[in-house]
Amino acid sequence: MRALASVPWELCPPAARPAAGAALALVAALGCELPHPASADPNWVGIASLLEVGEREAYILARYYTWTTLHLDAAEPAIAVSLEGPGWTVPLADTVVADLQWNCGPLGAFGILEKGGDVCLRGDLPEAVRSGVEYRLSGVTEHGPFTGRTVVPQPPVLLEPESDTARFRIWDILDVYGASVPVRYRFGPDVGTRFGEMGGTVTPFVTTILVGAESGRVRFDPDTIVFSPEPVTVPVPMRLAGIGWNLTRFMENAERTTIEANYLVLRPWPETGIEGEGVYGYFDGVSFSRTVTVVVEFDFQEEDGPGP
Amino acid sequence: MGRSTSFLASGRRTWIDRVTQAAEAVGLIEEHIPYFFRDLHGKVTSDLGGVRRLSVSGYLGTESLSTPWVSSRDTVRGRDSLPANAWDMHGGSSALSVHYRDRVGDGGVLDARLVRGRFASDLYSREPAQVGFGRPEDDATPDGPYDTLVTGGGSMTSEGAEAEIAWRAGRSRFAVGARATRLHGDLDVVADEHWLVQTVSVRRSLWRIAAQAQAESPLAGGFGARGGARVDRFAGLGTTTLGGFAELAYRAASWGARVGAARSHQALASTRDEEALMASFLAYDFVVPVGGGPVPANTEVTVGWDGELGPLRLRVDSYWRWLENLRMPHYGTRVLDRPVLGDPALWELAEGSARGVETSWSWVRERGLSVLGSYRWAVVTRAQEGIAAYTPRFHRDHELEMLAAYRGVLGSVSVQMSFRSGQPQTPRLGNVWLPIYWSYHGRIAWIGGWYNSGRLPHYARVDVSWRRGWRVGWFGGGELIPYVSVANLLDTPNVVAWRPRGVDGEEWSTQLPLVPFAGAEFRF
Repeated sequence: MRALASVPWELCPPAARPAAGAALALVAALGCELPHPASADPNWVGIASLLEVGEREAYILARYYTWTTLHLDAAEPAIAVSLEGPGWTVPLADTVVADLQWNCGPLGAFGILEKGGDVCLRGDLPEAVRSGVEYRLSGVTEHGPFTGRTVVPQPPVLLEPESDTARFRIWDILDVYGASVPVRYRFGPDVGTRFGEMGGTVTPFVTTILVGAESGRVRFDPDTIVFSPEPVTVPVPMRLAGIGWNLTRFMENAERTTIEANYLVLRPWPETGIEGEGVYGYFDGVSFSRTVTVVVEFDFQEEDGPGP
Repeated sequence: MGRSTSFLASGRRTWIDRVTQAAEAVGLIEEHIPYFFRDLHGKVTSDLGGVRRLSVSGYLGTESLSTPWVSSRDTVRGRDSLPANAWDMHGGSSALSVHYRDRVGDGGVLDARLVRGRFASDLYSREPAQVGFGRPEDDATPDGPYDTLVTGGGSMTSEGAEAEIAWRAGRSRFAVGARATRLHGDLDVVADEHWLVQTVSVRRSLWRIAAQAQAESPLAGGFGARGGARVDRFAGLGTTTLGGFAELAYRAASWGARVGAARSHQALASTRDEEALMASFLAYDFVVPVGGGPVPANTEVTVGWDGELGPLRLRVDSYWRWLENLRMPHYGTRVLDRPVLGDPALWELAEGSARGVETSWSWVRERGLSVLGSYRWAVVTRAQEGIAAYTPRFHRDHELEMLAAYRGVLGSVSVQMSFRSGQPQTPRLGNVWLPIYWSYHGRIAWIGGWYNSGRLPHYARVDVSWRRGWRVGWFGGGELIPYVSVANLLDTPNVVAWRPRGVDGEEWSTQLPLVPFAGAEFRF
């Protein structure tokens, strides 16, 4: 009988309200439009923080989903948070003013802060972030307290190229875009996602997710095609980056577009390093291999080509 | 067929396809429903004297949902002329049973049966291919291109023999029997990724050999008892199980009560994942032998009471049920977008429980007003690795059904009402869209709560119908019964399911709209 008792009479027009115990009136009332369950809370706070090995500063980003409405005056969530390392605790209290690339530390690329609604906080650390060390977040939002925990992964080992400088020749103009440098590597089990990184100086910074267990290719973007009667060389820094499982699990249960994101992430939510009421996101670390300078040689002279 | 042999033959066919096709042709509806069902049933019984009897019965049924065929360039073999958004589903079932009864010894009766049942089906679906950035209908022509969403089919077969000898000793009845059954499941489906079903290939057989004994005896003071035991050997799985049942009943002049317990086993599992969202939209099931032990088991305890007072009859039953070794897909974090069909041999073991009360009542008279109804309350849970307990997606806590019929000189008018509490749903708590490490693209996550912790809106539906019979002299005499009915008279939008869709949207699906029916029956 609970089913009948729960009929949402208040959502029907008054004329359709049934008299108590009048079965026919009850039936008539059920003809009004039934309600859908309540929509999601628009003030759910997304939180992202990624610690970079070797850096003496930390960043955290907080935003409402309403950020996607792209209003310059989008509401910003209230957040206070501190980061705890081995023997120290620092508040992440400095509000980051959008820099030239509009980033929040290592998060995103070009433009995540260009619209209103983002809160990017930073703090100076008493020591550089280290691999294998546990870090904790402790904070509060309008929904209540939240915590974070991560152990920064061990750095990947770049096996090949062996030396700190390697040459990479591009013979064909058609190879310029999508060109990639072969690498061999070793990542530890605490790394969930393997990245190869190239550029950032002369050429744009580009990352490639490496799926091979021991080897792969790191893509790079030459930005411009260099035409010259003689071969031209461009030095491009390259390194590997290893991200922990917290961000990896977040990415596994999230999609790039709303069209692809046609499912719910169910409780118990995958462990992403952030826990608390009304918040979801990730707290993780990233560590790096040694940096190799890849000397990219653009050599489009036909007679020098490798042939079929 | 002579004095000792009788036969029965019956056939049916629905005309939903033809009727709606005609309605479409005259512009009453936009699109017809290309569905039909037809079957044929026959039975021949030969009385060989005394209790000796031989009967053979057979059944053939066909079901089809197939969109009209037009010219196209679809290259699927044998399916070269299907239109856009095409569905082509066929199912056929057949059954054959031979039953022989004879006397054995002094007062014993032998029942021997050979049975075979088979269900086979195939399904095919396609839609206009997504080409470029336009909507599918912008890119496709009546001749293609298309994406094949699913193609395949399979069969389920059960065949076996059984024999039982029963005899009486005083007021008691005893029976012993044995049966051997071969179960075969065969399913091959190739599907587009992320669609209703996933590519699955199952071909598995199993022999089940069983021996059983049961006894039934009245006791003093209106009490009675019955019980039985059964041993099953599941060849191929290396499993032998012991099951059985026991019941104690009491019968007075106008009421009775009973309490019972039972345990049973089976070696079959459905290939359907009922928790997948799209299970609401695909009425298609295949049952195949489980790939290995342990076999699913059911244990239950029931307590019941029934009584009557004049034309009023009332029955109340309560039960507690425990299900072991169910097969369920890995829970994971993305239950809703799982495919509907899969191989249960690849799934995990799960457990379930159910308890509830079922009541039914009737107040039936030859003329005037009659009322029938039922109410069911149940609590059902499943548990598997990753989640301690959840309510299955198709469960409803409460279900109330009422049928009121008035029979008078102008015919019979009936009103059927269904009120059911909403099915479980997982609430969407919030959304996040966060940047990730040095990427131009962020990641979007729809945050859900505990699986099936919420409830969809309740279900309410009212159907009405009128029918009246006239005696006619056709075909040697019979009764012609025209009828008119309206399903979901109030057009209530009963929600089946929803899923996240769009930037911040939700896509909802509702059940049957208001549908009028009209037809006629002829009874010989």
